[in-house]
Amino acid sequence: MSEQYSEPQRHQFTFHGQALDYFGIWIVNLVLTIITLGIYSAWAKVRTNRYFYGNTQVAGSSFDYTANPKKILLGRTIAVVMLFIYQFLVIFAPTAGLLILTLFGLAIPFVYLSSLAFRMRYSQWRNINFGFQRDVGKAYMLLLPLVIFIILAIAAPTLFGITPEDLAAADDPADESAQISAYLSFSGFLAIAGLLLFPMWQRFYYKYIGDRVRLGRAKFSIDLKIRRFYALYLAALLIVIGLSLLAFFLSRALLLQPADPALQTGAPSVFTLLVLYVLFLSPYLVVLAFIKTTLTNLLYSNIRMGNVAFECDLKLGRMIWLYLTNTLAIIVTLGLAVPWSKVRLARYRAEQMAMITQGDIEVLAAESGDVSAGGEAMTDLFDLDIGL
Amino acid sequence: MIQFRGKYYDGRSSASIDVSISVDDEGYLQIQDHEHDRVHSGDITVSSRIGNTNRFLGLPDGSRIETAAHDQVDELLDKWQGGDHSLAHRLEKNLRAIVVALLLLVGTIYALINFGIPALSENLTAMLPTSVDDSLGGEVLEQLDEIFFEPSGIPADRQMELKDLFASLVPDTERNYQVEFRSSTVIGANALALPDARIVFTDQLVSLADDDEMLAAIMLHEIGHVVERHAMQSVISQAGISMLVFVLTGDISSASTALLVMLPSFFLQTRYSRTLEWEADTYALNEMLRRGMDTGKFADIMETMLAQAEAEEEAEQELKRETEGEESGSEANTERLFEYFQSHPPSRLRIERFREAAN
Repeated sequence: MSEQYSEPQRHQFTFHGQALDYFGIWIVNLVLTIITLGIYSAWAKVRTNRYFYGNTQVAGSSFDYTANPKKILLGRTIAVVMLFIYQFLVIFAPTAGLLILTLFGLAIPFVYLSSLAFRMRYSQWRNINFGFQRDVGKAYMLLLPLVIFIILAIAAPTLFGITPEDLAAADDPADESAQISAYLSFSGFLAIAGLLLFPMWQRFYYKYIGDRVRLGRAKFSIDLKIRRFYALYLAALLIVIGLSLLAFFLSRALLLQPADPALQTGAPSVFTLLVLYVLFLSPYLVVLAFIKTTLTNLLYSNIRMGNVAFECDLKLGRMIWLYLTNTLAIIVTLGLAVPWSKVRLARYRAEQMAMITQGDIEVLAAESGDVSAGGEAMTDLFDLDIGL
Repeated sequence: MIQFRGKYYDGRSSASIDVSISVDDEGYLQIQDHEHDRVHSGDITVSSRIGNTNRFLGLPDGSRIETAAHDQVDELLDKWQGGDHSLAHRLEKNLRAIVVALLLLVGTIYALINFGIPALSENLTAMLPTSVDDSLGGEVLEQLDEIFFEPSGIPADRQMELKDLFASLVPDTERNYQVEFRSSTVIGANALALPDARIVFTDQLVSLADDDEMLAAIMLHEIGHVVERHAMQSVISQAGISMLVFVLTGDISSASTALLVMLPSFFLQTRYSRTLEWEADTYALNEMLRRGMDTGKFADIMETMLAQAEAEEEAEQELKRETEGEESGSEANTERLFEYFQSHPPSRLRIERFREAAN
């Protein structure tokens, strides 16, 4: 039945969606979601995913998203209730509110993981489900440092006693400047540590995820070199510096300093502000496109499933062009171009991706003992897909 | 007899087999050249239609068939499963429904913006005790002092005079009304009503006024903001706008949607401010009439503020014209356009209203 080919076979991914098609789905999603005050959003999400999955094919078969909207609704309702409780507490019982916030913060890795596992579990190709092998302990080791870093960055002013209230209350100016310099050195240290460690952290993060994706019983594995991440972010830094300098000089030409200080009213026109806003934003948009494109190529080109490999070759120029024209179209049409831009992006991404196989793709489904009927209901409750 | 082709996946391995499927007149499904248990079309699950994606038929034994034969599948559904239950798909495919949906969407958003959110803000504010407003305003003045304000240059006895004037205008309520004086080159001539019933006057505004009656009029306007609890309403309406935009844009996964989110929020908030200014004017107008004050004075001071703002703008334009040449002409027009979105300076309409009441 299966023939052995001596040459590897290349299967191009294809995307068959059409902007007009998707527009109908998108607008109905929007209207029904608003009319039902958000309840339909779970169904909207399922339909959107089914549309994009179903229109993506490789080796003659489409993908499918099989999640039950009711489960997603449950997850979202829980999230909203938590949010309300938190808001309520913040106004009337601030200490309790802070406690809840900390608990939420600590639970983020778990929730994120659950969300990922849920999405994988209900994605399938050729009637074989994807999966994600959770390793909660390792996830916490990975994600908790990030959460702590963020908390430190936000809480630092309070820790060093230099919030506006503290400064206003301080009597001794020498004390004040000592505290401020301590804070500045701490922030500097934190920023540098963050910048130096982030590429490495990100490499471990993607390795954690990539090595745990499953398709049926087949395990994915990802081969990532740390130096690729450092190269990526170094290049990104250089790009952002170069473009920012350019933006700076351009903006100076635009903003004229009045010759007479007495006439300086302080506020440039709203139009100038808008142009400046766009100018200063562009280097970051370009560099974001750069990072995203390079990362996507890096990840998908280095992931394997047994003897199946993948190719991903997004071109930076084209991606920047896509992002730029999408953004402009969305602004000009006040959002109506969103479906069109999503379809465009999906099509290009699929076109640039391929699967390389040696012979037939043989993947066995996960053992039937893995998913028991009752157990599934329980774990599904914790597998919240809340739209992360 | 219904016949179509598809790909068969047994669910135990990823093998894909091209198969022919037939459904006989009693509804029993048969996959050619493939042994399987007897299955009736009424017992299979059919994925609801979405766009033009392939359909998935799920058999009771866990296997699935992927097929593009929409017509045949629809026929199967009609005959053995009571038709296509997907209302969503019918709406999505129906062009007229889409147009209606678009109009409905625009209408709903319009209603929410013009009636829904303001009504919500007002009602919600009415339900909350004024202690909430007080806690909102707590640190605002201190933060403003850090950034915008310098200590006032008005002599102490003059400040006492103005404070006495203010005290005579304060309504008889439990709120703790205070007036504060500051100097601010950035903000210029202006007055601010903080949520905790503290009102700030800038030196620049005090010097603009010809007499104390003008200042009294402005004091009443600011008191009006506090009485109506506008700050609280602003907070709620801002949250409402954010929520609306969030729901509309759904998953904010791209920078462009994030950008789109911020622009309408900005415009809407200034739009709401204009309504609130009008309301504060109403309070001031009624109080002035009740106390037998000359409402023309309020019109006068607003005119002075307007004249000064226009003069500053003229000077700016003049300077730009000198240094840039004629290109700045179109920018001046754009500026006038953007003034629509600004809540200050005072509009002609507001000035007229107080003039007419004086007659």
